[in-house]
Amino acid sequence: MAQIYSLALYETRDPHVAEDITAMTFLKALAALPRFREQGEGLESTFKVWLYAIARNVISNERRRHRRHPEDPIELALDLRAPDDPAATAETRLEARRALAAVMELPPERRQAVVLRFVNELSAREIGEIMGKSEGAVRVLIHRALVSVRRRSEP
Amino acid sequence: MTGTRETAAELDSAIDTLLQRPNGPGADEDGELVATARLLREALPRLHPRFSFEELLAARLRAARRWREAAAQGPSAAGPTPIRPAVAVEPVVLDEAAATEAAERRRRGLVAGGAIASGVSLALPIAGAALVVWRRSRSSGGII
Repeated sequence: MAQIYSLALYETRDPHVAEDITAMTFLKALAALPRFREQGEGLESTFKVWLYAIARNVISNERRRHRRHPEDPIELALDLRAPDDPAATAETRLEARRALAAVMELPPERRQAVVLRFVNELSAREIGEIMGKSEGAVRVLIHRALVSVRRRSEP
Repeated sequence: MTGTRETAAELDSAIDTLLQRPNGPGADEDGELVATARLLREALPRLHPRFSFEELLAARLRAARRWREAAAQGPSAAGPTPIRPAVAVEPVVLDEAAATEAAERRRRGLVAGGAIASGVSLALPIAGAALVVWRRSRSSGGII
């Protein structure tokens, strides 16, 4: 549930909408469960991909309904664990904030691929199945996203 | 394009290694994009909904499943479509042992959003949302 919520919150930037999306995703999945056909076992299970695909559809519908993000962008105040070197902390925190801001500014497809890869730790193949793209196309999408993040997060 | 695909495949392989062995060696030898990937792995938090929301959704799903099972036996057995079952939502106390196990399993730290005092904090401009945030701990990886 947390993984679907995470994706929804990154996409909508609104915790209330993210909760609605999460609830809708699971209720839709429950309704569609009789039609789901498992095509793998264990780590190869296709259930996760199926659930994410439903979530992605719900997010897309929700985005069409609202057509706007909250006026204030998501603001993450990161206080990374204090190591021995305070200067290093400040530098790391600044770097992390820049990277996060750069991710939030990515075009939707790239941002979604990055969130699914780094937050939800899905493989390029799984992301491809969710997004209806080839594994290679997802890899290129992530490559380009990282190039953008790299450029934007440079001081 | 082939070159891009090859480069992207190499990067993807490096990301796989990074996600599987976050504390593994190599930070000094990372190329620019792998270093960015490493930074994203550290910078992007995982977010958890409010515990009360989870409880409520679980109750809704249970009610919906019961209704479907009853509906399969005939409309009269099912009764009206469940909307939102009225459930008393008790605050969920974080089970520290389970949280530790989960955190270790995921190799991430665990932070209860409502009680962030030190370590990693994540402040979202959201009213009333109690968040639990999983983040990788740079040093220990246990409960922060």
